[in-house]
Amino acid sequence: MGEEPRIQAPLLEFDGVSYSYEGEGHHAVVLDGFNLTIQEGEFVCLVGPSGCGKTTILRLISGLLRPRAGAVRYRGEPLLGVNLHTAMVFQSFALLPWLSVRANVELALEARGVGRDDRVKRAETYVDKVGLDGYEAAYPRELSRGMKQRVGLARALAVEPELLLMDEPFSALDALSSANLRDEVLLLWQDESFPGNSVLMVTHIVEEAVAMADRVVVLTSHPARVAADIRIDLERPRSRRDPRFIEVTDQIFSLIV
Amino acid sequence: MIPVPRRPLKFLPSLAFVFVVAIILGPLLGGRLEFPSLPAPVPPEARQLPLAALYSVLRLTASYLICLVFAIGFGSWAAFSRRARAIIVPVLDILQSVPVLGFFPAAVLFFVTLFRGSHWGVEFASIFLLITCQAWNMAFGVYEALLTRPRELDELSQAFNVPPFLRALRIYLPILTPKLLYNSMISWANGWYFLVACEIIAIGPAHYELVGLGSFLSRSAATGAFQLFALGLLVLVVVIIALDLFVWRPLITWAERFQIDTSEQAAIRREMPFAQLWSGIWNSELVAAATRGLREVFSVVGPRIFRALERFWRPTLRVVPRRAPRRVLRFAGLGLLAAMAIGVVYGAGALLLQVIAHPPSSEVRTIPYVTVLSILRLSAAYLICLVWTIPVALLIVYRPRVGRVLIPTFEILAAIPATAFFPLLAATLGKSAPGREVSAVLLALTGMQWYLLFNLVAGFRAIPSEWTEATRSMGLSRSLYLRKLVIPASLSSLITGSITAWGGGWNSLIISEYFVYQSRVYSTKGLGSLLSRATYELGDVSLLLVGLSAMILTITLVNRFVWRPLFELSADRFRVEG
Amino acid sequence: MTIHPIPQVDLNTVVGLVKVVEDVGGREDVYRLAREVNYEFGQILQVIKAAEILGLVDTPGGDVAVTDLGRKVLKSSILKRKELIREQIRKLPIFGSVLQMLQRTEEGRADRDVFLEAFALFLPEEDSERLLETVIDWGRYAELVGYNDDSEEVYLNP
Repeated sequence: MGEEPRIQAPLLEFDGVSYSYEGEGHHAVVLDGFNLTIQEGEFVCLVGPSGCGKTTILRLISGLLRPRAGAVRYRGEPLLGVNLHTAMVFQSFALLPWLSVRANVELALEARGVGRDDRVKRAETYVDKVGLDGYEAAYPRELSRGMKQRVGLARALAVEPELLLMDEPFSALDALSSANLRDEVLLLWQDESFPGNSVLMVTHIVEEAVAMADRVVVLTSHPARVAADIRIDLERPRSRRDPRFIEVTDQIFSLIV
Repeated sequence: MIPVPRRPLKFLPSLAFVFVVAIILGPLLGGRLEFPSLPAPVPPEARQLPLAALYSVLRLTASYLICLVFAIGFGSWAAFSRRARAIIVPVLDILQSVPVLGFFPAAVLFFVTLFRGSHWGVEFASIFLLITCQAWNMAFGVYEALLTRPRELDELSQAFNVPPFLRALRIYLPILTPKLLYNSMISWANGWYFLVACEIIAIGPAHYELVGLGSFLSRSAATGAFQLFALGLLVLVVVIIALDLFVWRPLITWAERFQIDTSEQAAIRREMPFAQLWSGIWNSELVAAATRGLREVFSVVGPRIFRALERFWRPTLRVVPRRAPRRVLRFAGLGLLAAMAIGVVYGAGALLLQVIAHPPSSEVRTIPYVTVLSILRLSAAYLICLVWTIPVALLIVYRPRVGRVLIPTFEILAAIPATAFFPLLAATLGKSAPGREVSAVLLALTGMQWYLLFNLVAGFRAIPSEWTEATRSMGLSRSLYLRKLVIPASLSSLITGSITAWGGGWNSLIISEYFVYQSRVYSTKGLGSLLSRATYELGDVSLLLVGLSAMILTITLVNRFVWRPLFELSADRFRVEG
Repeated sequence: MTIHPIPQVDLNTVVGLVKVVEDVGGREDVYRLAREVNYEFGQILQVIKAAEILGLVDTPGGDVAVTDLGRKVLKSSILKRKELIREQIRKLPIFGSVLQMLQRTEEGRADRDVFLEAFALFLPEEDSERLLETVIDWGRYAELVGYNDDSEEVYLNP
């Protein structure tokens, strides 16, 4: 279990957070006294089996849910509502089919009250950044899945979040497209002009986490607990054939199983 | 186009509730029936036709626009609020079962009296009646579309903190548009169907007539002016076809962009007649300039309005927890409900007084008997419907080339009101009693078949093609294929279609069991003719009210004990899993 | 006008292929590759073919090998990649023909049907619709052409 020396106050902190779902007749405890911190500038991956509460954690971070006990703190302050410093990339893209690529990205800005000219400029900038220049007028139905997810990425980046949240962003893509997109996300993150510089990504593919993250947090389920918090010090770009890569991957696998 | 099943009636109190809401306006004004008289209408002449057509279209349009607001308002309210849903859905369900006649007293008393017998009063009354023919279906369309919306769009709007008005504009309105459009077409067809009843409003001694296609047709038929009648019919058909080609089809093509399930739709591109002409107009400089102009205006005015409304809603930086201040709206909502409750009590009281003070004629005792007769008649019509719609629907779906011809044809036929042709039937079959029975069944048929046909087509289309291929490759014989695969899989749309068909059938009874031609009354014993007689001949409002209650009660019971269990059975056993 | 078809593959997948092969050392047996990424053999061949005509891989023997250009692409930023691939797309004959056809029109735009007919005529064995989709997709990526879904027109990117 890795221990990070606290040089500065954490960007995000889960402090003894508990959360449960009340269904019809059943009561599921998703989180129980859950603790987690994320520092600024980190690329953190949450790894765990499906249904272990990763999505709940993301929702708590973005302020869509409130903890039943404990606190979720952003820059030291407990969240009072929607966390405007975060933005989400969805597993199933969540694009509006009747809006063009440009309009889909602009929607996120419109929701923040950004004025028309600014909106257009910013949307164009980020559409360009993710390599979708030329697709602005295209509709989602004309795009491949890889391209759709790029739109999702552009949309999230357009609001210039300090913390980018990604919910299994590549699991709806085939192996080759996701290989490419993983690369590109890293390229974007390492680019100086990337807004904010923290990323929290949820995935169930261990190798993906090891390839991308500074830190891999392994979760168990029912309730979700941090089983391991492993720092990955390998230089990027990381090669899967690197023995150290394989070692870390094996280590994490053994923790899950 | 498969409608999601409406939640059937859950408790009888809502029956009284709604029934009264419908009649409520009348009693509220003092409860006495006074019919101001209007100057006698002019005998029909050919040169009146253009104007008559124009007026009818204007009336339908006015009614439609109001229905649009109603449908979007109440439909979305029901879709988003569980509490609202519990009241609105049963209410709409019942209102839908009330034939337009049921609204006559309210229409006359409220509008005609309010405007002191002036022409405008009758116009508004007519528009009100048209609204009752169009609104409920549209509201359900909005409700169903919003209810079945993809949840990921909700997640999206929450995650990006999209304020309510932006959500409405960019997400909810696009989602409800396709369904609303389809239901609008059906509503218009319904409006044409009952146009005669809405342009000639009569209760007992009172008789009001408006200039319009419906009244033109009716009067030319009544006075035996056959050539005029044919001319009027021609104009009617031309108007309907013109509306279909120049309004509905382009709108539907435009609305295709809002379809969420893109897989099927991309393949089924509609063949649009005059496509060249239309795209020429649509893509022309003029239209482009106009659209640009509008967009400019909107981009300036829009944000200001949004900002102002946003301030009112206060959602921008905080998630508003459930309990917190949306007090203004809660009070408004409660206030509305309170007003309705008071109205209900008052109305129920007034109604009871009405029935007690002026008891219905002795005919009231025949109600159970005539109800059974009507049910038998509708059953016969229903069976005939099944016999022809099922094979034709199969044909349409499995022979696409045939389908491409048949579907537009049927859509236009469905829009042309059969009620306009009734007088012809009367003339030929009406002389003998069995003939009248046949014509009554045939006329009920026209109010039922299209619902069934289009629902079946949608149901058969929804069967995944993989199933078809799989069973074909297994070498299943055709009859086995039909029996084991097609019929079970489409059962739920068969049932939904049947529910709406029966609803249409009940509504049509007032016309199919009773109409006037050349000053003769052609009627068969039934609930519909009882209601019509109560309205047109006797002016007996109490009888009308009791008859309506009986009809609503019957429809509700049939829905509850026949259709609803069948639907749940089919949904359970034979669900088509994606 | 001779036009050769392009495989109907998305560019993300193509670059992804190059990355995956480079990851395992720069050269890999095709069968093993197909198994590793869980692709059907026929499908992976299409992707490999696309990568090949773009000059990103070679196919010596039964293997796939990353070219220098391919390596360069992988090392570049997102926008630089686009530039490099754009240059390759430009060289493809089918794009030459498409651009020619557009340049001959008055406004640099043409109905999609025009292209569908041309494809059906000169490449009868291909699925014209899907081929056009791919051409538009690659053309957009290379910022050579654009497509308006409402008016169904392909147009030259100014």
